Amino acid sequence: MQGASVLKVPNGKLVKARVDFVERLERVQITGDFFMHPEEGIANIEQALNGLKANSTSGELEKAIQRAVLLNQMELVGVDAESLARAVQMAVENGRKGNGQNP
Amino acid sequence: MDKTPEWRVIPLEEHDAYLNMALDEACAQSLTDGDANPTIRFYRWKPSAVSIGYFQSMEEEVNVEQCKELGIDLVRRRTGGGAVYHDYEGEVTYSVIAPEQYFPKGITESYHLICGWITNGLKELGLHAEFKPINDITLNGKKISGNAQTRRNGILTQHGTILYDLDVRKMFSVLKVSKEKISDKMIQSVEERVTRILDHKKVSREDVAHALLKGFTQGKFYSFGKWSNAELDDAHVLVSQRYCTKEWNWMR
Repeated sequence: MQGASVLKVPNGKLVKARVDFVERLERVQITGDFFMHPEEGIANIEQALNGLKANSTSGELEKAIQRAVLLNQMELVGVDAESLARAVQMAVENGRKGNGQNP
Repeated sequence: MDKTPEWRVIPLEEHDAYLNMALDEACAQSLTDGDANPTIRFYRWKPSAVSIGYFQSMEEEVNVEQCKELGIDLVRRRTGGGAVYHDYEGEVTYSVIAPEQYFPKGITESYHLICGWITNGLKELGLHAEFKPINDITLNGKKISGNAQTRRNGILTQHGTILYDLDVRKMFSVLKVSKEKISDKMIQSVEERVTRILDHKKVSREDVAHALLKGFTQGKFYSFGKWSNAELDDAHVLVSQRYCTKEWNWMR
């Protein structure tokens, strides 16, 4: 299944998430007009989400993102781990709705 | 730490999008290696170009076909932030590239400091603009400047644009917005949110460049400089290996 979402971070920037998933997240892509550096760290965040259960809670996704942020010593501006997690979770929900498979 | 470095100022120059972005990176590398002074540069985009933020999708943000037709270059920046239409006639762009210890540690505070140089420059023109966090400058509540910053290997790079005479209709033809949004109503509403120097003051681009130069260099030791041969060589390599490549520009 595929899903997408768009989320405006309160007092921040726009985050868009695209996910491919079945039982687990298979491919996560996050785009938007936010800032984080080092910029390449976004790939580590996406990688950290791949393989997690598609029905992970927003909190579980946030923990994985937070770990990647710390590990890569990333600084986030206009976005935070919580918003990224919510965008990914919304993308999964939207994907399920689109396929008529509401949990 | 010496807080009063001599700055190198590179006056208004014109390059294509790829070289403009590559020069910023080559300069940062040169500073990392201890081969360059902190640098302030002013430049224009020839031909006009669209730059997108590091995290944006080219396909999602840009009307690629329209850009091809109009001869507008497309480039991904190494900084985050949004898509920008850099009209050759419509704006002045700057970059500040310097060791990060010359700036406040906080990102917002360092945006505030450098954006203060811009507002000082605009003040020279009699325009009273203000910093609007996270990364904008507004004049009478409308955006007149957008800025983007990154830090790497102890070097801060911030670049941004100051709108001089932007063609809003053209901007909308190259940045992707749904068709119904390109109605007069939408353009009107964007014109309500965006403003340009020429809306307020009939000044030449030279006057603007001069005023910005003054704002950026106030209280600094500086001299006019140019790129070293090593920086130019590195920049040309970065153009061919990164900024001109499909892998980079269509990465997301």
